[in-house]
Amino acid sequence: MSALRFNELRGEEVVYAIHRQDRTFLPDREHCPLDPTRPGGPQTEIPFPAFEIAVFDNRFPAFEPPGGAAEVIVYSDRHDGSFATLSDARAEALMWVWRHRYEELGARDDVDYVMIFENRGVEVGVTLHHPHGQVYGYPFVPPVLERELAADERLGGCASCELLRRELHDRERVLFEGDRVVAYVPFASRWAYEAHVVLREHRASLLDCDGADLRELSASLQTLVRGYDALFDRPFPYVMVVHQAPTIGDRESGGHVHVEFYPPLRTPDKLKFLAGSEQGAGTFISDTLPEETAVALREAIARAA
Amino acid sequence: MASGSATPPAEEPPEPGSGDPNGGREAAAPGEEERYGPLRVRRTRKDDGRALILYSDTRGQGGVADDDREDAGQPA
Repeated sequence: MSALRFNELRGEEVVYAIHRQDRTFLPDREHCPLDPTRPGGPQTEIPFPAFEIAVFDNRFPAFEPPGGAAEVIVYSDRHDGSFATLSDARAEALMWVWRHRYEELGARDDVDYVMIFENRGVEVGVTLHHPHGQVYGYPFVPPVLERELAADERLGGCASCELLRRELHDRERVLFEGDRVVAYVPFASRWAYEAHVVLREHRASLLDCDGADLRELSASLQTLVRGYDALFDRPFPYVMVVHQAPTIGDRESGGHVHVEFYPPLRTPDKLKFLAGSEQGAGTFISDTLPEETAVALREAIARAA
Repeated sequence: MASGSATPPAEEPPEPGSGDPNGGREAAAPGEEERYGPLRVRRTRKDDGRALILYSDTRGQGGVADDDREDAGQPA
């Protein structure tokens, strides 16, 4: 069972989930726990010989009832591949699964915020290579969301709407745009190739998204990650996080659906580390300008198309 | 993918505030299949009691390996 301790100096919760120390770590391909269970083969997390998308309670949860939730979303029964290589239809179905998990977990009394995310690559701590993401149901509203809600207050309305307006006005960091979704490198990005994929219209959560929204969102996310893979001609590590409204109280009081990517690479073979300034002062120091990395990303996206 | 359904996909979610208590889902008894948007939802439990949910795309274009989906969702 996990435990929370409040770090007074940082003003934030720390989660102690010491059972996770023993979680499965980079198993060989024949023992992937996210593969289907094939006749005569080893038992896996999914006791079926085939499936499309599977969601299950994490065996090594950071949160569990009555203090939240931790789920694994397996994108495919195929071991190889990635979110970028899913078919268009599968990626779109995944958006509906995200929506469903947000709705179900968000309805629970012990979940104040539903965070859907994917860690890709050993550079960001991946322990299983099979294409998958995760869902955490936090029993509190975490600091990043609190900051987004504070930005709403500071900017006098939805911060994501205002920042999108500014990006569309400046244009130089916009990667691509559609009728419903815009992707850009933020004006004050912290990571060299950070990108945000944002719904044009205000949508507090995925529950406010219709089928057309979800279809364009999935297509936009795939366009971006395929561009990432083309950027340095290698599988591109990233952390992908869906941001939306907390599920406590009035969800219309804050949140705007957008997906943020935090890629650790700053060159094909150099990582950005969180070191002195980032950890000790909470201030990122970047070696690149967002306007320049946006140009490189646009070119990579064009190559991947 | 799993065999198709005669039921047209309910792709559009309910309008916010529409008052649909099921949020667009078709209610189902435990062990039965549900629908959510274009998805077929099947709930089960693993041997150790953890929840497992299998989603399949009712539109018959679930992505990879459409040609070997016939056994999807059948116990190993």
